[in-house]
Amino acid sequence: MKFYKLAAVMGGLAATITGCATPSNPELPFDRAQSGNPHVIGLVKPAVPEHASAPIPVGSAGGIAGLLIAGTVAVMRSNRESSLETIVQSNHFSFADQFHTSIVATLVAEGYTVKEIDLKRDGLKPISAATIAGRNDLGVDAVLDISVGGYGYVAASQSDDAPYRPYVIASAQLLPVGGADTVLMKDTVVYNPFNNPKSVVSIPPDPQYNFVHFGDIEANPTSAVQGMSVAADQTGQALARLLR
Amino acid sequence: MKGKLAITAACCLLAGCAKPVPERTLPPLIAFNPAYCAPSVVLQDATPVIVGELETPKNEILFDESNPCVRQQDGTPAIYHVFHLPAADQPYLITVRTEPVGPAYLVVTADFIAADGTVTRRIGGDGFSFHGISLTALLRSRPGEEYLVVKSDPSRVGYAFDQISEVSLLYSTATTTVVTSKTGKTSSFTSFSSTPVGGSRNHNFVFSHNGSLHVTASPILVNK
Repeated sequence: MKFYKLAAVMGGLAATITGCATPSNPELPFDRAQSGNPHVIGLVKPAVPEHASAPIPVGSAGGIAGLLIAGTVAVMRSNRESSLETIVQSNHFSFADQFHTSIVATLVAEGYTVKEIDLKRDGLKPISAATIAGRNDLGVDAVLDISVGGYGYVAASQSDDAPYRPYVIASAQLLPVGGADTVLMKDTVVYNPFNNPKSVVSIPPDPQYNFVHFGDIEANPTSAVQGMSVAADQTGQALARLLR
Repeated sequence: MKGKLAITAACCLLAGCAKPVPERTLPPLIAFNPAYCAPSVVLQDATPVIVGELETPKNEILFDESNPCVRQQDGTPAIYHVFHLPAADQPYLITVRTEPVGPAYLVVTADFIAADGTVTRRIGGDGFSFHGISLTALLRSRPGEEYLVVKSDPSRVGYAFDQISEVSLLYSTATTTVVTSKTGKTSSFTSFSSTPVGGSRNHNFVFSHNGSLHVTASPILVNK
């Protein structure tokens, strides 16, 4: 069930990125001067999947991480994810905490004041602009909404020349609170992207965290956790820098 | 016979057995003689940018020593290309994208210029981010900005780096089966199957004055 949920999330994300679902731009850049120079950013707690995942994606050229995974592979994937969860737990690693810390630190470094705000969200779905419009009571200039589609370890195939590397897929949008039902910024950041995607900000993976077989991750849990930590950190920084 | 040829052709297309096109490659241009550089950018003969025109090989600008060059205020030479931005009632998106040609990875900055020649905005290196293996700046248009001057960035030229890219695709194959019945009648059917293939590649790039550039403009479809 978890697999299908994640596949649905990634499918929705891919549809959004490739623009085949609705005629909208996959990326909308932030123009600070033309957005009224917002200073206080309301950060909604990022939506992050509860557990790390370890897919072997199959995608189309130009797309992002693929979605078609055979049933037999799904069983192996489930085993990998159980193992990854054990590693995460035993090393007391929280992707969500690392990611959140990185975002806040980078926003502050960019000159923003960050105010954590509590808004109800529907799972990993982005918050609608209409929900924020007119919410001057929040005491912020704009609201930053971030959703993580997935994180963990991914391999391009099961062959030895396609090692497991950390990955993160995260989307962000900046919404105004002044009453306009619009988006000031929208983008997706992918750490370790597949198939040369042109409509997402991408971060090439750190070659230090290559694991030829999944067993190598299990044999080097500390290094594996460090790899995920670096991915969380760099993805958080890249997302926050979209507000430059 | 014709049928067999058609099937073979289809299989080749699906299985990707056609002869691959050799990849373009350029040696990185990390220094050149600045003697021919002009003291300022010449805005005449700007390439028009059309909103909605997609990125294609036809609108690629290949940066090399045959392009105009300017001596910048700090004395460093930069190869440049001028684009004429469209006047539009509604804001639109401008994409400035460079891609490596072999190891040569064009690295640029971009200046927006008003009709009177005033620089209104400067997009430096931190305005660009990797999008796959391309470096891209995505910008919203502003009123009064008429030209976009894209210049190679001498401050970063010469930097060598490795980059990993991953590929994961479905490798499709077609299988045609011919069945002959007891009455001698033959029929055939074709089935398709897909095998996942994938791997990673390590690229060695050098930021350079030469390489591939695209500047395109696209409408803001729905601003939410």
